[in-house]
Amino acid sequence: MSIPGQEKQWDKEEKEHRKYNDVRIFDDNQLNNYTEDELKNYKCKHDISQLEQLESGPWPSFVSDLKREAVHRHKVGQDNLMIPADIVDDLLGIVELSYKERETHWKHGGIVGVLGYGGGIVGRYNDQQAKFPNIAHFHTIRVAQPGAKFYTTDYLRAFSDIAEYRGSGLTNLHGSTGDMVILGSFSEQLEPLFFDLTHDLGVDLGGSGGNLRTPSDCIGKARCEFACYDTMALCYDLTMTYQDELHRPAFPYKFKFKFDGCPNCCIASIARADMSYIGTWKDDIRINQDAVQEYAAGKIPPDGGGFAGRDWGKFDIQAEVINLCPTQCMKWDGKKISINNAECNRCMHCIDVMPEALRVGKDQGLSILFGAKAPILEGAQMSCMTIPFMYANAPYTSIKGVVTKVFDWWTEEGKNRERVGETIQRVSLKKFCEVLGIPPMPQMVTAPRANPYVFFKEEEVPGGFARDIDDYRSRHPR
Amino acid sequence: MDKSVKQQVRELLRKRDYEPLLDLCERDRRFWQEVRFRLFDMDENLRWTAIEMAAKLMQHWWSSGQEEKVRIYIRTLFWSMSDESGGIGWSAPQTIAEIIVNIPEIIDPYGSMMIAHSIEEPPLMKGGLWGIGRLGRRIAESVNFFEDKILAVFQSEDSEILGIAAWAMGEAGFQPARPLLEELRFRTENVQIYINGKFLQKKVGRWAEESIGKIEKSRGIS
Repeated sequence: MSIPGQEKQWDKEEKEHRKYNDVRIFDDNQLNNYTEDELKNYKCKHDISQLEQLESGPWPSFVSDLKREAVHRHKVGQDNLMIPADIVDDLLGIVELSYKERETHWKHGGIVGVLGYGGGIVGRYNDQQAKFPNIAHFHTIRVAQPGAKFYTTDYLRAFSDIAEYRGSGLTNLHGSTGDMVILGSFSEQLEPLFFDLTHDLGVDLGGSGGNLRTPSDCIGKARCEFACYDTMALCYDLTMTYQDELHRPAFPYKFKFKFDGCPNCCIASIARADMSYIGTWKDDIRINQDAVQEYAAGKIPPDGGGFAGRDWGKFDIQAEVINLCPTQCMKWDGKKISINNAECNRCMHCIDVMPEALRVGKDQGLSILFGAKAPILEGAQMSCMTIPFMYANAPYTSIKGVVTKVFDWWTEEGKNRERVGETIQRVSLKKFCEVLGIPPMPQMVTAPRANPYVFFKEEEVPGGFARDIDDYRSRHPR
Repeated sequence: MDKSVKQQVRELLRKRDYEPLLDLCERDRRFWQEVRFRLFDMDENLRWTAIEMAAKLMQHWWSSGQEEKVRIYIRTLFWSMSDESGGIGWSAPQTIAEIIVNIPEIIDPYGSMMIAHSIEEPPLMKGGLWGIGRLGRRIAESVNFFEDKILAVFQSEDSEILGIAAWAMGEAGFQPARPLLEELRFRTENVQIYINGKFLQKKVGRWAEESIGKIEKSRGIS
């Protein structure tokens, strides 16, 4: 992972986790402990008639899944669980109540946690504890997902056992930040659960609250030919470098890193991350003209064969690639494709349609964008292109230099519950560029034909901003 | 974070060498950031010295006219005690109390707010009780105001909570707690409390007894 001779402590740590059979909590009989008939005969202890109606729709229903878990937990028995065996029944009951009353009974948040960490667990309580005592607590535990969400079956099975034993058995795979989320635990189970996760699974809690949230990455060079940098390596390195920022909240609000290997943006960093790292290239798109011919002749299916199942007609390069280029920088003369690379805005459409004929350039690195977020103080916004190109080579000193500047500035300038994109919006991109120490560049755009990064300071303009309109009109009549 | 920053902060905190650290925090905010991280440290020595350091820096800011900056930080600490998005400021009540000790004029409103934010939150209860003890007689009025909630703490089965509560009641001279302290006289669990830069360990009963003495003294009985 690191440069030989410059390994970090975490590179030297033993990475081999225990096998499922070493740490499993339930045996096979307990895991497969009910029949379909038993499921059919399941009767929730609360009236859930409205919820059951949902099962009649054409889609897979969460109600059916919850019933399965309820039956399963009843048969596992309270003696084998640290959380009430009836927790799912009460969950169904409170959801039904909310459907009837058309208002939620969940309270937002609650102060819980494990010692040493200021985040990773989100407290959940409800206001119907007398009626539904088995969900008096329903805390969620954010567990850091493995890089690019590569799992072993051992890991998933062990994780599921812990979620069953010390949680409700319900999980979110994955939360929107990418974490694996264990739902429905009680306060007194949090420390043991944390111990199990760290000692048996070798996994850490994710982020929550005003801190660095669990960084997430696309599959990158592990399996994708479009990846312009090793997303998993960078994600892992920054995750380990910023452990304090991840676990010990000291920011005005949440801060998200997300790593996309190419502008296809599979992890959607441009829409979700405060600091988006998106792979790109400096040189020209590589073209294999022979393969272009084969696409034209129908010998290679376009879109990697994605258009199947019906007759989509003959592949038409002119209509489906050239005419759809947003900057009109491509030409097709019936034999060869040519690209005016200076005009390419990395939309990736041509490369996605003809991956065997077109490849990302060889001089690869990443762009850094700032400020995406969902609506909080202000409306939703996408990331702004701020650093058009950086190389992404370990030990990532330049990238960390940028991160440090941003953290230092935003922690100082950001208001409580203000995302970095909102701080930038408030103080201006001009100020932000000054903080980063970068000049405005033509590639810095928030959206086509919108460039908020080009500014003039009064001292840079001859005569300053004040002008004599009569003098101006003498030279520029209406 | 730069390794040398982490290392320097840890070393200075361990030595309780606050002056040079104060200077570093002023010159480079990464040092201040690192002090804030140490508020979560599992090493109690580091954690308590970080709390004291944070308070000293606030005092420095306050006396140099940066009052709003201090208020912003205190508001951040309060937010960490009521964060709905999964954050918890483990040392927040203690830090607020220590800041008030260093800047006494802000006891109103932050003293009573410190109690209000912590006394009913189980993970923050010990910190809030320690804050009451640290502020002592200065916060007596607020302790009276929260009488029911504070006395309810004595229902806890956690001996550490009982020990800290017992000590805090004596420091605040809180008379209504006396019958509950009497009930603790014979508890034998050891509880350690950080007082004036030292960890003192005594049995819960001993903490209760000493408190009764302080309460009586404060009434002029003994």
